[in-house]
Amino acid sequence: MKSSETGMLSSPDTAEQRWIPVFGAIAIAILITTQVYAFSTSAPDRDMGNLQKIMYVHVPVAWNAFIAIFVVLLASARVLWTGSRHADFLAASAAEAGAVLTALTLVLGSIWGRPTWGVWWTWDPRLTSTLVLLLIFIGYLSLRSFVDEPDRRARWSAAVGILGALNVPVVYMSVRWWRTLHQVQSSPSTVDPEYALGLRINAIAVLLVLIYFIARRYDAAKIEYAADEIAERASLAGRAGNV
Amino acid sequence: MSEWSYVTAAYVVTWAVIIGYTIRLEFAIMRRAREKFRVATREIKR
Repeated sequence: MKSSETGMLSSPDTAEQRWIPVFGAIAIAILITTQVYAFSTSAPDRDMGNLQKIMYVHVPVAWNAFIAIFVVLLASARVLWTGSRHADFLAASAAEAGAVLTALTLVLGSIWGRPTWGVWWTWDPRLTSTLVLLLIFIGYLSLRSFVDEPDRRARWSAAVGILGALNVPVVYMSVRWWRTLHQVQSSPSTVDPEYALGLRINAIAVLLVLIYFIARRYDAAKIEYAADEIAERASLAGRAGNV
Repeated sequence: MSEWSYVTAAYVVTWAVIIGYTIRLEFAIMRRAREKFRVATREIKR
C-alpha cells in the first residue's frame, strides 16, 4: 500500500465527513418527492394496470445496482494496479451497497412477477443471472470478513469484485440472448413517453441515495482503518518502551 | 390479492430496505467505527 495512504487520519473530528448524513437526508427527501410525482401522475398501463407503478422502484434500483457494481469494477482494478487503500475501501463500500440493491431488485421483481407471470420465482435466465450476481457479491463480502491481513484481503476481494462485475453484461443482455419470461430492458426509450420522466427522475433519486450509502460506508471504513493504524502505532511504541 | 396489494408491498419493501440500511449505517457501522477510533486514540494517549 502507498505510504501516503497510511495514518491518513489524526482525530475523530477531521475523520468524519459531516456533509454525508445531510446529503443522505436530502437524497431520501428527493426520492420521496420523485416517487410521489411518478405515482400520482402515471395512468394505469393498458396491460399491467396499476402494477406498472412497481417499475418506478424496480427499474431504478436495478440500474443503480449495476452502477454500484461498475464502481466495484473500477475500484478493484485500481487496487490491483496501484494497491490503493482508498480504492479498496471504495470497492468494498460499493459492493455492500450493490449487494443490497441487487437483493432488493430480486425481491421487487418477484413481487411484480407473481401477479404478472403467476409465479414468485422461476429459473429464467434474467432472474438466475441476477441471483448469481447477488451470490458473488455475498461471497465478496464474506471473503472480506474472513481475511484479516489488509493487503491480501484487498487483492483477493478485488479479484472477486472484477469477476463479479463481468457477470453484469450477462445479466443485462440475458433478455436478448435467451428466450426468457422477462421483458426486454426497460428504459426511457422502451416505455411509454408518459412514464419516461417518472422513470428518469426516480433513477436519479436512487442514484443520490446510492452515493450516500457508498460515501457513508467508505467514511466508516476510513475511520476504522485509522483506528487500526493508531492501535498498531501504540502497540509498537509500547513494545519499544518495554525494551 | 389485488394489484394494489402488490404495489403497496413493493413500496413497503423498498422503503424498509432504504431506511433499514440507513439505520444500520448511521447507528451500527458508524458507531462501531467511532468507538474503535475513540478506544485507539485513548490507548495512544496513555
